[in-house]
Amino acid sequence: MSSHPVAHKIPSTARAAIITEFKKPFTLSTNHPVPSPSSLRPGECLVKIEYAGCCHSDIHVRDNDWGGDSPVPLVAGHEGVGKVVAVAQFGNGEDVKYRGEEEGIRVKVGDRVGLKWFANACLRCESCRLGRETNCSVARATTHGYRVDGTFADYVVSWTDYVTPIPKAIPDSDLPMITPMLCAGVTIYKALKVCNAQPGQWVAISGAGGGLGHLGIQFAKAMGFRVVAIDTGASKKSLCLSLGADAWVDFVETGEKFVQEVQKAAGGLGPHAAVVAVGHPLPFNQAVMYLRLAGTLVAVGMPGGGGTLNVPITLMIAKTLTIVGSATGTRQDMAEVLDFVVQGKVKCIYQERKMEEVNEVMDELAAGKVSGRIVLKM
Amino acid sequence: MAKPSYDIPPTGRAAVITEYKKDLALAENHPVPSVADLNPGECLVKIEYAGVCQSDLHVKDDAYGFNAPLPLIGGHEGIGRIVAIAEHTVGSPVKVGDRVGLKWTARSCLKCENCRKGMEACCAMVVTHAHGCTVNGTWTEYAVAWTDYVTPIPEGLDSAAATPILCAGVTTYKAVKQSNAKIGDWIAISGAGGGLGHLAVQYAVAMGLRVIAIDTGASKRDLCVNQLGAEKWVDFMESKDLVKDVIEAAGGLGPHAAVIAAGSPIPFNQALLYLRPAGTLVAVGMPAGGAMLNVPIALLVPRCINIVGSATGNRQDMAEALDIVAQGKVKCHYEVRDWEEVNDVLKDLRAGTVTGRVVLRIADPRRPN
Repeated sequence: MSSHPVAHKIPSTARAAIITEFKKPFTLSTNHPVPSPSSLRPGECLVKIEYAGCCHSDIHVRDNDWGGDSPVPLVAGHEGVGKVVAVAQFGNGEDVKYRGEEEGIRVKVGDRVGLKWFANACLRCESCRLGRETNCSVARATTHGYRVDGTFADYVVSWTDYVTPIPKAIPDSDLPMITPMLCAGVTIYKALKVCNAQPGQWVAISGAGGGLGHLGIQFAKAMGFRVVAIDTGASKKSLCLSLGADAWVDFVETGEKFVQEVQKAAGGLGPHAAVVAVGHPLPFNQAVMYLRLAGTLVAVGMPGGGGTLNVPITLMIAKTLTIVGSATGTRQDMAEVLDFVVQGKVKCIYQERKMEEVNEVMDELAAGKVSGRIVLKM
Repeated sequence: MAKPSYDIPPTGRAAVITEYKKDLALAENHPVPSVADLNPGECLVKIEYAGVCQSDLHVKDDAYGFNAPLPLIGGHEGIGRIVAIAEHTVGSPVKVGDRVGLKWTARSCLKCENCRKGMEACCAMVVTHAHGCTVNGTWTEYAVAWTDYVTPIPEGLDSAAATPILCAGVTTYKAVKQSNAKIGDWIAISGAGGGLGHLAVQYAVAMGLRVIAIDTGASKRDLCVNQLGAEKWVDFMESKDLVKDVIEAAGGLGPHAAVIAAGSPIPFNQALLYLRPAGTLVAVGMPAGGAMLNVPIALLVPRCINIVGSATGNRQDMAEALDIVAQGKVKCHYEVRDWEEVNDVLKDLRAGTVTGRVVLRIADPRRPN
């Protein structure tokens, strides 16, 4: 019989949006079983989700676009913020006291935490030791809403050492605003960290008006870059410019002149880096063309159905290009993202909707109609 | 499937610091923790061999000022087998029967900013979790360690020969990594004939660097130049102008890097003067008694010198350091002495008469294995 404290009364069933069959809308259940605290395995915790973000990747998972064959039925969603309501009896470092411990890093019942794509990492393999947590094989097998139950639920199991502590300086009223930082934010931030641009240089952000893109503009400005925002439509244009983008290129309006227009906008020679956060192969292939000599393409978006980047080899060598794949970020990246939020340098533009609207939201995302991010209030 | 299991005796040998600045007490019947005594995450390791390091001398004299509560088992370098793992240990990467190494850092939190950035030695937890300094160490038959921090030892390595890699090896390997030197560069290694130095020479050679070995005496010269591959030798006792001699040895321009693994402040200060412009000084040795590095700013700035403090290494450095040994590119030169001689070995270290490393045979020959 477990003797650890429990924050509040945990019901035996609650709501969840579940993938029961690929390519079909999520099944909305109001009596999905809630794991009991005593069922938590060492190292695990139970989190009551307050806000859950909606990401284009959730559509790819739902439709099995990447062929990952999630173990359905599975609760969907991989971006969430909530409170820890129970912690497993063992495996949570409860025994150790030492001076100089960083405040808030030891997660306990009652703490506000964020959940992200990777639910856990082993912290011991070579990848983890080299600071590449997202390459860890444990991490790859433990992904919210893809391999293990996710955040479109009132209660979800996660790992105490891997959930993200929310800094005290972020007030409760900002919790919905920071929810997209847990995936969109950390992903686009990490991409900018690895894009090899220096302060003052040009970075093109493709999908600049979307969930990742609009955060990317803000991180990029905070990091001292000049930004070419690439997207389409008047509302995304005004959003991007209002967030500080130095230039705007509409990929639909410019048509065949698109590549030249991007190069012109970025000091005439093209941007030093391109971050492509779009789920379609075309922008990746275009980036290779508009990048400046010795530029870097950071691939972040994950097109479904086997989209390929086709690079003419002689072009790659003549331009001495660097192409980098980037997948979400590490705990360190996540801490840095939240630090930018605390400093007031990045804010998510979001719409709050109800959990029950999740399927409609997925349709709107699929239709490319969403500026910024949609956050479900749980 | 049968798991290996071990009989854990109630008492065993331990060399214990009972009073700072005194010889260690050699206890034959020191209590051995039982499995039930272990906290989740801990393991009990039956130590086969344990190294002796100049730092152990400073620790026993409380020269670093940790002032840890005594009595404390000394020693921070050791190899042995896991004989027990605490109940409720989560996701241990090691199992009972595995051969593992213990090092200075007994444990780091793996969660704080320092750990997340790979600077595990800077984790606040390490201050209170350092083997042989703030938690019990390796000069004992049965040592308590942490499953997520002990180092798996590659197959095929001799335990006695691999023991010094756990501290001397990883420390010097990391230092050479941090020196910014690349293949073909000159690197000066101070204390080149000592426990750390002789490994530093080999790691540097393995990494394609040209080594200037600095130390004193014929036997250390023979070791460094004839056996380990150092290209040049400077004897700091015989030299009339060490700085000039080192500059000349490095093609007349001074070395690109210097790794100072010595217990006196002099070699650190000399390195500032012989380094090539934009060169890097990596400070590894920890002289006691408030030793200072005095940097003339009019030298530091125009010459663009880099000064780096380096403290052991993280788990990744440790794995790499051992892997290089397993590839046969680095060999420790060591002498095996018995556990009972630990105080004599410490005296020899103080006198500077030890070439290479001394490794203590810990296992009690009277006890069946």
